[in-house]
Amino acid sequence: MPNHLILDLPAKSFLPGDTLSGEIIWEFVTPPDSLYVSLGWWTSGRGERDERVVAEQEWKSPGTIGKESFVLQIPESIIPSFSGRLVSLEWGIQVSAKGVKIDDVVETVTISPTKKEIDISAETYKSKGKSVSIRNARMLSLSNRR
Amino acid sequence: MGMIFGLIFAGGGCAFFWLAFLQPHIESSRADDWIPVEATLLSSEIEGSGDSLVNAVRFQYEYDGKKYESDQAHLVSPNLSYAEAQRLRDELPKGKVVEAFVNPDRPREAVLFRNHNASLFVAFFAIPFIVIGLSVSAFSLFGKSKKTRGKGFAQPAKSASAARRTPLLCLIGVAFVGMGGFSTWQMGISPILQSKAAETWPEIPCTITKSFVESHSDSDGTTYSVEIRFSYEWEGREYFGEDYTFSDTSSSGRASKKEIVDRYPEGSTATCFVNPDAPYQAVITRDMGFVPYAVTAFTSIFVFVGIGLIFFGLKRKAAPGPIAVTTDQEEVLDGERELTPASGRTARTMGAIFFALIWNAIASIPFFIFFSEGSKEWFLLIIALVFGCVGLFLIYNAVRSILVLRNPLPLVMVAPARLQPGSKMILSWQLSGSASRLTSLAVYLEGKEVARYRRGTRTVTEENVFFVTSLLETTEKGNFRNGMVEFPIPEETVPSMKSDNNEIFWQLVFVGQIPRWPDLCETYEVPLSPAKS
Repeated sequence: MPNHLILDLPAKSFLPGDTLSGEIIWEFVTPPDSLYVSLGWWTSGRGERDERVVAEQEWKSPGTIGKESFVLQIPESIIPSFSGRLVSLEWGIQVSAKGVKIDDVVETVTISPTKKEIDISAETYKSKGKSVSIRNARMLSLSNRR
Repeated sequence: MGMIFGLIFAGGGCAFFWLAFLQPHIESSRADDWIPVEATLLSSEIEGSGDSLVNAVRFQYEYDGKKYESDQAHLVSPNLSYAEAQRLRDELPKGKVVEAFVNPDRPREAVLFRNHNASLFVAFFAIPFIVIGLSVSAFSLFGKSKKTRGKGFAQPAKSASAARRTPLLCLIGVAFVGMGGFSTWQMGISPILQSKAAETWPEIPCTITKSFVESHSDSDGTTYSVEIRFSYEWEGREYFGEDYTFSDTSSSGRASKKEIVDRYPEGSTATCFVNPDAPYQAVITRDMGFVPYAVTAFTSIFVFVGIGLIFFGLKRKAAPGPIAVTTDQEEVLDGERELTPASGRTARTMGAIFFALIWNAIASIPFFIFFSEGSKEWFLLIIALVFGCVGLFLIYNAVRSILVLRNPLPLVMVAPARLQPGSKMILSWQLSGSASRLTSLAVYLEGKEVARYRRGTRTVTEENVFFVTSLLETTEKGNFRNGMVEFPIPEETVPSMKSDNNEIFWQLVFVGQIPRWPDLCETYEVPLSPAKS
């Protein structure tokens, strides 16, 4: 019988400061040492990956079969989910089981003041700061998009 | 690939460490338990001249009631300079009673010095190679899981350090300081100090015993040095010298060295300067030219770079994420905040001047060698011209930076103090200095995303401006000295963010035109806090 680990999230879009609740259901052949649910963000895009966990909950010796509910508090002051040309940031919930052979379960969520991912990839410009001469700066007006 | 490279790197470092430090120590440790006894010097002479001088010491000692003689002064044959060999002779005269060390298993074996040829400097030099090599290998083996992971977290929050230092950077910095400092001292400062100290040394006649130009060839080409051996007499005792000057360096340009050697043919009589307190130290000329000063300037760069690396390595890196952009005014919603320029003008100017000076000091060396030392290496001249052109540009840049110091400087205030997406930003400025010289002024607000990634051994930084808006563009002189504009920051945008490899930042750009003068261009970072719902 294979191991099973399920993450159930009733909602996937949140405001900063919201509480995020969900359920984890598991069935393992051997009992795990612990179960672990974490909320955090990671970057993707051109740069090397950065990540950070901001909230977490752990269950020690949870048994081979079970179900647990969790509630995690999303901080009020956060960087929202966004997508850029070079940098994007995603929020997600990850469930891990220690002591059994099973992949982590990851579910992405959207956290922003509008509950939608902010898109900053639509437009790109040349920096005015790099143009040390106003002669060049005039040439790079707002309509001068790359 | 990275792991193999790292292991080869670390292996090379280990080999250096073993050969230069551990092996000599292990070899010399066999004499650690030798028994100290009193010994009387039977003879102490110098043998040879010209290419090498060797100490010939013979001493007598008593062990277990039996008398023995030995002519082995050192446990490991040292490579002594003329001065060191003669100092030993002077300090160990015939009849002197000294301490010797006897091998209790073979009492015929005894030495005066339980020395070794271990080099602490080479060992010190090897350690960063070992650490860097092992780190690269370890990163290749274990660092991939995080890098290639598409979703989720490699580490839980508990083990993620809030702030950390970079010890590897410190280690590289220490290596730079060590190597740079050693080279600066050995080839620059020490010869200069010796030359100053020798100003009071008496000048006495000497006889040239050998005189030639020595070639030193390696993959970088051939360099030449003046080699002159001479003998002299001080207080009735004969001494030998091998130093033409205190500066023990070689350089390209054989003709100038040949000219010196021709002035001192073998068998001729010349004069040398002798240290009256240590007569085994002598030199033909106290003049060293510019080389030690140029070497000091060049090698000091490595020391400064090393200090910089140590500084940045010790500095705690801020925890990545939103915490990095919150400020002490986070909770102050009202009021205003003064913004400071992204980089100080004075620091920029000092940096430009310092860099131009260092570069041009180094770039002048090949010119000097080509024109003053009679080198006919045209490749050297081409290199010198390329370096010279860069040097001219750096001088232009330094002069420009000095002129920019006279430009008017905006004093910038923004309100509210806590700006966030959706805020109405009120920007006010006042130009200090001669604002009347400006013929136009423009102010922009920019949002930039920055991504850093590694390509081979390099770290590449890419920037993209995702937002620009013009807050002011005017040629009316009355609007320059001070002003105020209001601008609603878009609601659906990203606040400032700084993590290890990715960054979002906002900045105000002031651009002003000054006729026949470098234009005004100053940037001010605007911290944009996350919006609270």
